[in-house]
Amino acid sequence: MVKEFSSFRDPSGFVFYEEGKVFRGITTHYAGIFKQLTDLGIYDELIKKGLLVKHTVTGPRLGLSHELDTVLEVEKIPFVSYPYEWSFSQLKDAALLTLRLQNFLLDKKFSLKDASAYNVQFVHGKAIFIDTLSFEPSANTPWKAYRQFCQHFLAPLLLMRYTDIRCQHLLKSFIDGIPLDTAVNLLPWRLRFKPSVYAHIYLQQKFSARFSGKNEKIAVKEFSVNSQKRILDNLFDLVTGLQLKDIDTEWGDYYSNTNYDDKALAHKKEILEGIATNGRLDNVWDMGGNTGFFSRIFSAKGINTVCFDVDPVAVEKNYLQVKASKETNLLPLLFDAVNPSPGIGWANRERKTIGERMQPDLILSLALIHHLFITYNCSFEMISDYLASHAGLLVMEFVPLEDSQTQKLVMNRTDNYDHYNIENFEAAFAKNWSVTSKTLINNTCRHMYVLTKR
Amino acid sequence: MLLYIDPGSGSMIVQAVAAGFLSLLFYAKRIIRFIKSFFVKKKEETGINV
Repeated sequence: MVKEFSSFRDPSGFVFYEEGKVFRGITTHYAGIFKQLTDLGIYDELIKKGLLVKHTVTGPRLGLSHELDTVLEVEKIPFVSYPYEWSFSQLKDAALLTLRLQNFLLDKKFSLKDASAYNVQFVHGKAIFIDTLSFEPSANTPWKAYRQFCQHFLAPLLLMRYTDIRCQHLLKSFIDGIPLDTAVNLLPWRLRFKPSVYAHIYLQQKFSARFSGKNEKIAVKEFSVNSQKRILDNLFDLVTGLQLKDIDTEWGDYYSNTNYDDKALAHKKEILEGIATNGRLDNVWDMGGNTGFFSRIFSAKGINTVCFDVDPVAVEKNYLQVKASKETNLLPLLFDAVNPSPGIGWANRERKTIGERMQPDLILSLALIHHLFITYNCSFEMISDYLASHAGLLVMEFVPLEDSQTQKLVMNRTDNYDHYNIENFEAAFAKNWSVTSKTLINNTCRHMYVLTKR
Repeated sequence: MLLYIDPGSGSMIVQAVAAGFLSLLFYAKRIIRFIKSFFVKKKEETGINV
């Protein structure tokens, strides 16, 4: 039994893992509410509507009976991701899900006690709420999680839309969302004239500053469900209306911008099709997968595939395609291979690095190595070690120096890159990997390697 | 000093103020939508209700 470290904040229960399964233990503190929610059919309805992760009540687990009232087995999330790895529309969909859930709960005289973006995950291409114990009976009071919603969702979305799409990286520093005063400082001044933004960000910031540090108990008057819904409706409209204005970058149009001709592309696809069909794979990571063109060869076969890319626009386009085609096995995520998501929170263990979250069966590294080696000065040994620490199987496309794409990288550099060659690559990778197959891709000077960890 | 600050209370109170303010906005928008509906075909949208 392994306890999930990040559960420590929740007095209602905790998540633990046993034999590859995920469980959620409920303490006596929350047992009464859990029973109410179950008896009223609220859980069933939310699960049926696909808004809440599935759970089933199981028998008591050994060694935990003194702490726990009830134990649930919960549906396993294929890959846990965090808000700083989501594209704009992923964060937006997670926000809308949270608002829909709160709106639904209000009708049942319940409320979300927190509105953390970490309570949302992406499963089968859709946002889903995972914290079964986040609901509490509501009185006619303001929404406790209002500020948290604004910090976790509204502020980053506004900053990404109106200031800079890369503002989402702030979420790595601020684990409880972007502080409202920081948002006020970073957002363009004109936004205070947008009434909804004024109310949720500027006015709230003013009130927080006004009442902070006051040594007095503040009496909150009764606040009707209608008034609460007025705020939710407004937040919902505001978030729905946020659209990225210009979603084209140098990478956005990558696939019409490569040196592949039709024959080369067909051959590369054929090689990957073979691996996807014969590989007995459950989980694949595509590192630097751009808009997911090659990831889809794997996800289309029912393999859970995570497509990581450093470009927020590519990830956004990929996610919009997942939604439009209702794809269920592809998860696009923002991720920088040379500056990966760190462990953050208490003891650096609340939110984990990708390797701490999962070990995939296979990593795809297609046309990535020349960027790592030339642009970032990573040696072949460093690249080999890093990949070997994550998976047992690796598909590596080696792009040599004479390739026109590599030539673009070295064109304006004065350093000598003669040591970037296939012999040095093979020798360095041989320490961790044995070559299962090596294929020259038709009409190119690139090789596709299938490598197995020694 | 900062550690003693409870940032929550302002956020509770602001909701009462915001609700009043946003109600005005809500009715104004409703009138605009009503007038617009004569000229523009309504787009199908997924709303807050599930």
